[in-house]
Order: sequence, then C-alpha cells, then structure tokens
Amino acid sequence: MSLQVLGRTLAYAARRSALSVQPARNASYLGSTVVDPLKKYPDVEVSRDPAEWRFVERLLPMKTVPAPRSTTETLPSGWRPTNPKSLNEPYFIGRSRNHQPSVYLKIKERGFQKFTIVKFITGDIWRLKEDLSKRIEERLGLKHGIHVNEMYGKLVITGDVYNVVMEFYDEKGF
Amino acid sequence: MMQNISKLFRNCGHRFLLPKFPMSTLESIESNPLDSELVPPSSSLAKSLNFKRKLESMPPNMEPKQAWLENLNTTDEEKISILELHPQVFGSMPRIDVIHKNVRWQTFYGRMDLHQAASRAELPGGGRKPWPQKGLGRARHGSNRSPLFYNGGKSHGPRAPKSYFYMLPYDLRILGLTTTLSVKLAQDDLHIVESLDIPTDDQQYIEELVQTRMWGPSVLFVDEQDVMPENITKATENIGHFNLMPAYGLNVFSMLKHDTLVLTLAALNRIEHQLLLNIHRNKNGKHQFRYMPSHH
Repeated sequence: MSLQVLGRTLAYAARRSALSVQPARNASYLGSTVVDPLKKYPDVEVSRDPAEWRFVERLLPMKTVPAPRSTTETLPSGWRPTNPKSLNEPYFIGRSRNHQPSVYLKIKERGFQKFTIVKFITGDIWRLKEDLSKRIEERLGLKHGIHVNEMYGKLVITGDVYNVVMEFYDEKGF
Repeated sequence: MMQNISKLFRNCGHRFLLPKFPMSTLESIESNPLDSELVPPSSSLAKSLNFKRKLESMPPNMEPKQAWLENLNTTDEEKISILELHPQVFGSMPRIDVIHKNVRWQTFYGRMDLHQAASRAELPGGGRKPWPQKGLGRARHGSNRSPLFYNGGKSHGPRAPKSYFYMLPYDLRILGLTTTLSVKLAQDDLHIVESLDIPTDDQQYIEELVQTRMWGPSVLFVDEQDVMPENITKATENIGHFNLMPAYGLNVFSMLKHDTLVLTLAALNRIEHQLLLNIHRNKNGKHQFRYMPSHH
C-alpha cells in the first residue's frame, strides 16, 4: 500500500468517524458479501512515523480560510486584495472571514423588498453614509434611504443598489 | 457613566479616532516628569522593550491595542514591557447588549425550578359530588377540590420541573468574550503578568499587593492551565474575592463579577489564539474539505 493511499484511507476514516454514519442504501442481507475470518485479512500496521503522518495532515480539513498569497495583484478569478490607499479614507469597510467584500443584497417578500447591506464598517460611518447617498443619487437619480447602525458597523440601503455600492467599493479599494 | 461609555467608544479598534500611543523608547518616557514617577528607574523596563507578540491575522485597518506587562513578585508594580494585543479581541466595539445576553444566558441555562402547585387531581379527596345537582338553590359542583373552591387545586400554577435551559448562539458567546475583554482593557481593569508566581504563600502579601496597586476589591487571576503555583493557591485560599481560574473557564459573568482581571502571558496567548481562530473559522462543512471523494 503506497503512502498516499494509506494517507487517504486514514484521513477518510478520520472524517467518516467525525460525520454521522449513513445507513446502507440498496443493500440486502443475502446480497452482501460474507465477512471472512479475520486471519484472511491483512494485518493492521500502526505507524507513528511523522513522515507518514504528513500525508494524512495535508488531507484534513482546514479550520480557517488562509489569506490569499497575492497582496497587490488581482487574481484571475476577479478577487482583488485590499489597496493600501483605502486606509487613508475616513472610514474602512472590512472583509468577511473568507476575504470577500462585505456588501450583500438581501431580497425578501417574494422580490418586493430589496436591501443592500454593507457590513464591518469602522471609522466615520456617518461620512460613508453621506458619500454613498451622493453616489447613489448621481447614478440612479433618486435618493435611497440608508439606515446606519453604528454599534454593528452596518449600513442598510433600501433598494437594489448593489452595483453602485460595489463600484464605489472598488474605486476606494477596500 | 456617560463618560465611561464614550471612553469605550474612543478606544475601539479603528485607527482614525484612536490617539497614537507613543511606542517609543525609555528616554521619551523618562523625559516626562510625571511618567517617570510611575516607572521607577531601577525597573527592568530597559531589558525587554523588544518583547514582541506575534498577532495573527491582523486586519489592514486596525492597529494593535497596548498594555503593560507587569510583575507579581513585588508589592509595588514594575512595568516590564509593553505588549501588543489584537484589536479584534481587545479593541472590539463595546456591545453592551451582547454582554447582557451572555450574562442572562449564564444565569438561566442551569436554572431548574422545582416548585409545584398541586392541581385538583393531586389534592386529597375531591372525588365525591359535594351536594346534589338540583334542588338546593346552590351552584352546581362536581368536586371539592376544583379551582373554584377555597383550598382547591391550582389550575395553571407552577409545574415542576421547569427548565430554563437554552444555548446562546456560538458566535454571540465568542462576541461576548471579546467585548468583555475589550471593556476590561478600556476601563483599566485588565492587567497582564508574566506568571502567577509569588515569593510567599502569605495571605497578607497578596492583599497588600492588590491594595497598593489599587486593583479592584475583587480580582480574577487567570492562568493557562488548571494547576496553579502553590504559593498563590495558599495565599488566596481563604479570600473569597480573589479567585484563580484556568483559561478554559473564562466567561463573561466572572469577568464582570470581579472588578479586576489579571491574565498571565500564557493565558493571554491561549485566549487570543482561540478567540481569533473562532472569529475567522468557516464552519460550513462543504468548504472545509480540500479533497472530496466522488462517493461523498
């Protein structure tokens, strides 16, 4: 058994035992293979070699999403790192734990209620509200209500202004 | 009280409103005549100003919070070094609503009410019809123990056992810890020490120490592991308001119950690491797995 196959088997066993066991589907008692006497099966070898454990470790799930390696260039997927010039603004819009922009579109009431939400805001949130309000009025010709939650660092804008907010977001470079 | 709240807001994690702490050398501290009174010239400040803590996953817009590393081996405090603390743990927004939810949860989840009011079925007697249905001019009744009767059963009284158990969402519990730690630091109630080793097991020593340093009436000492040094264990044994706690026991209720919170460096590292891990953790099962065999 190669080290890679051994590693995969152990990792799979570790994951499988952590998850709930699924009942066997489309299986019947008579149709299943009989378990042979234990002597027929190969011996289990317990290894504590750190070199072998490395193959298990690299297959185990990661607890956090690591920061992408690029800190200056936009990746082929379109993901853009935070531009250092954005730190000079009076406010800052942080990213989620997956390093994604924290601008979300929420649609409720079968499509009749739409909100654009901006989260993880630090700094002068009132100034950000004014800047966004101006930008939305420029682009769409209408004023949109913006609710400020200073405690949460959150802005809720009525309506679907996601693209306008994202344009503003990318311009500033958060 | 309003002053305290505005002080908390001012000390939050964003860099723009926070006055920059002079992360400077011994000379600039000693040049200020007021500061040099606090830092005795014979202190070991000079020896470890380079004490650096590695802060994991720092957001680009946040600057670290700062606190003194102090000692416990003398009654008078000695500032050994300046420590940098992660702003997401020690400089988060003071969410008083979240603190309240955590305190309420801690108070209620173990609560079990055992009081019970007897219903009409549980009282003795009450099986016979007290008087005939018709003819007497009295109201019709079937049982002496009905809720209408004096000394009758209680229809909707407390029914034992009643549990108040509920689990506060995990992220709210994490947020409670980070908020409370931030509040403690902002209100000058957080002290970080090298370890909980003290020179004697004398109770008076620790009492004098807390008195001299003007730490609150109650102090919570937190270390990383649950086995504490012998001297501090003996010294604080008979004092109800000085308590020792391992890092895994850290909770919002205890931090608020005790005026001052004292963390060892090991405890600080552990708490910060665990909280940051859980703040940044992605708990969606699908995204965790790098390798997914086709039969999953």
